[in-house]
Amino acid sequence: MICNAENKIKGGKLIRIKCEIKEDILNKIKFSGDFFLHPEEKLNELEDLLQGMKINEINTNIINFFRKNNVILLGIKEDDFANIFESAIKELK
Amino acid sequence: MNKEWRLIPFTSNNPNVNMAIDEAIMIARSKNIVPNTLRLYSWKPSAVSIGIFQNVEDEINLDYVNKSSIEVIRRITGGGTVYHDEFGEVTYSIILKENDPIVPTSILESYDVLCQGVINGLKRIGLDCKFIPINDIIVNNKKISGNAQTRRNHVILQHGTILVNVNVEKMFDVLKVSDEKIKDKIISSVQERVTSVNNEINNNVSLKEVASVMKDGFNDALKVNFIDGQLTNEEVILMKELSKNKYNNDKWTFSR
Repeated sequence: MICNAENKIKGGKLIRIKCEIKEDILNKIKFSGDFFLHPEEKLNELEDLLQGMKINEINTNIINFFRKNNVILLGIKEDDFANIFESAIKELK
Repeated sequence: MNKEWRLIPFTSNNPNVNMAIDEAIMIARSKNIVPNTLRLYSWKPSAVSIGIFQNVEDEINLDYVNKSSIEVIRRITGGGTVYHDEFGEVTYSIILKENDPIVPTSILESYDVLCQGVINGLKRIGLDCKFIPINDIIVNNKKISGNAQTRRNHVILQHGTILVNVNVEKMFDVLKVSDEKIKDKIISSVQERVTSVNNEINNNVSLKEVASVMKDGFNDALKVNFIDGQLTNEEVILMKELSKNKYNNDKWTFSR
């Protein structure tokens, strides 16, 4: 199942998500938007990490990944990534 | 004595080349083979750039840009979609070591410090601008400049635009609007929030004149001496490779 969502964050930045889920497993995930995330390559690393995980493990792993890797976010917060995933999979629950 | 920086004087370049030069200088700076550098440029033909995390199809009206020979390019910096009009915009890029005492360690604070170059430049033509976090410069409550920064291999690259002439309607031919029915309303709202040098001073200042005051503005803000220079052979080789294999390659442009 393909799930999409978008959210305008307080402050004006936008985050979008496109993901593909099969039997509670996240097969593909792509975040996009006009936010700032440093170092930039960490977003690909996060997506690679999440692919193959159970959907109920995603949110904790997003938050842990950002903290463990000292990712700097501007115009967006860690929770915004977790929340947009929740919005995308709402229909599945 | 002020430190010596290289200035790459104002030129107009193909969009792929513009982005490739910025990255080439950044790589060369990380290898300590070039000094800190300020570069001033415009875009020929006009282009639309998207932030590194954006999706082209979500942001850009591809039918329109293809018909209009406007190039689409993905930046290595975050932030949003920018329409770079050939006759309407001056862009700067500044490349310096991350540990340079000029800039604070905090990315957010360093935007403020580096944007003072643009603010001081615009002051020289009578505009009283201010920095608004995260990355904007405004005058009379309207945006006149947007800026974006990346840090790699202990080098900072910040590039930003200075709107000299703005046509918001044309901007919205290029950008995809989520709801076509309210496009006119969105355009009016953006017209109220965006301005340009020539809107503000009711004059016909050229891109070249704006580029010239930018050099002086960065000089005022950073207290460095700019020496006119050009790209080194190593940078030219890197630029050609990046232009051909990265910025002119759909694999990069459509990578997200």
